[in-house]
Amino acid sequence: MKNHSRQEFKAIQRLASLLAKEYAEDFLRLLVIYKNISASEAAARLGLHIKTAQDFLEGLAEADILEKKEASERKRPYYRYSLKRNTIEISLALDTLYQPQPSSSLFALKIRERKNSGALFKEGQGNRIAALHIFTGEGRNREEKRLNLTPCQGRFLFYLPFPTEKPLKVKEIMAKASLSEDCLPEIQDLLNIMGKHGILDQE
Amino acid sequence: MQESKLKFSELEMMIFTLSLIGAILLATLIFGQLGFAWAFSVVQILMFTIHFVVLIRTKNPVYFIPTGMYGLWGLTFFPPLAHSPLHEVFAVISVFFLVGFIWVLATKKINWRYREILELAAKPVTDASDGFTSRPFVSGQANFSRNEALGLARFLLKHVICFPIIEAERIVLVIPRVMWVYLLGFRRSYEEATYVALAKSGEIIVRIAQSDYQKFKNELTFDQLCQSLGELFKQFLQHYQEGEPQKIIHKLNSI
Repeated sequence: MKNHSRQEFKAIQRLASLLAKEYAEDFLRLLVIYKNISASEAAARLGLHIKTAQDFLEGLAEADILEKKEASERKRPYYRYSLKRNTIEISLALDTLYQPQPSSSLFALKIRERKNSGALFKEGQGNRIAALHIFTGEGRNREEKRLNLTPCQGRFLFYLPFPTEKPLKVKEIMAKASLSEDCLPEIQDLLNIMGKHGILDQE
Repeated sequence: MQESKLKFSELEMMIFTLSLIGAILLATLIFGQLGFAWAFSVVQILMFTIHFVVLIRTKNPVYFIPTGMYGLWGLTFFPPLAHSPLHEVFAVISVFFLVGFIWVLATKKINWRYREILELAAKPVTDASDGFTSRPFVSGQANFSRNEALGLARFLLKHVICFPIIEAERIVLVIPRVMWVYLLGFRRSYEEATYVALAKSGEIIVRIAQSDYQKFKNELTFDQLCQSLGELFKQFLQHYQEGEPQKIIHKLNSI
């Protein structure tokens, strides 16, 4: 995920978490009724702690739903909040969450299993690997992570060259495994995981 | 004679045999002659049962010889039959079975072939670059029908060379260290076992279990070892297809 899409996703997460609050509907209704409102006024009206009301209002202001203006009364400055818009739209383009590597460069990648990778492969029915067991850490901190593989990933792994064999291009392995290009994103994800855990030799 | 590439691999059977001998000795020490007779006859009945099950599973008539021998020894030494009029008849017939059993052992007719198979597979492999993986290896293609693969599987089972597991898409020929584990039904899957599978697609798939790979003295280059094991079974298949399955036995006896 690229940085800008990650930031967008985080902003949506923050907004969604605000809207998921039990008091969100009442709070938003209050913001529609009142031209502008302070945190203490809203807290008193809804029976909330002032800090809770303050956080909710600040969150909506950060999401650019509220306008925040400084006001002063009896020497102490405070903020008043008013709605900037009458609708809240949440839109997330899911495609932005995954930027595939160009298929030409992935196809050309030469790979094989790394010698003494420590990974365990559980065989499934037919010519496929059903699960990949990855071990991380040492001694008491040693942990096992089991990845259940999709049929595409399982067949790809079945035909992955052995550690002492000549590396093969991803395209060649896919041809051996009779896999179509539709499987490429799943295979890329698997290769990323295997690469991260030192199970693959890449050229 | 070529030096073996395998370490000692008969530990399980040695422990089994020593346990039986130990049980007989213990019974003799504690209960004297009667203890010996009971323990010895119980061991013989156990061995009779094992060989009888193997006779049924393999349908190999040669197993009639050890089955008969152990059965008759069991009857000869069984204390409640000590005064039976048939006691001496059992003992005399068992001598003939003993002679037959010696012949069976000398001609390797009921030998398990785990060692020979691994030795033959390792023979052409000279590199020792390790590279073990628990994944199966596709060692190539062969032309065969399902009936031919089933026929080969039956032949290999009859001669206790492999234990076949029949699947819809392939016939898996397991090469166990202790064949009884499969023949007596203690194990039914090939998980963590060494096998050669003949797939419907014609692919020969080989998997060498880590425990079996560790039986080799050197860390033989793993893909070459798997390839060689696959080639060996391709030869077995070819002998069977040519109507000369006995060549498989000759090849195994050559080690």
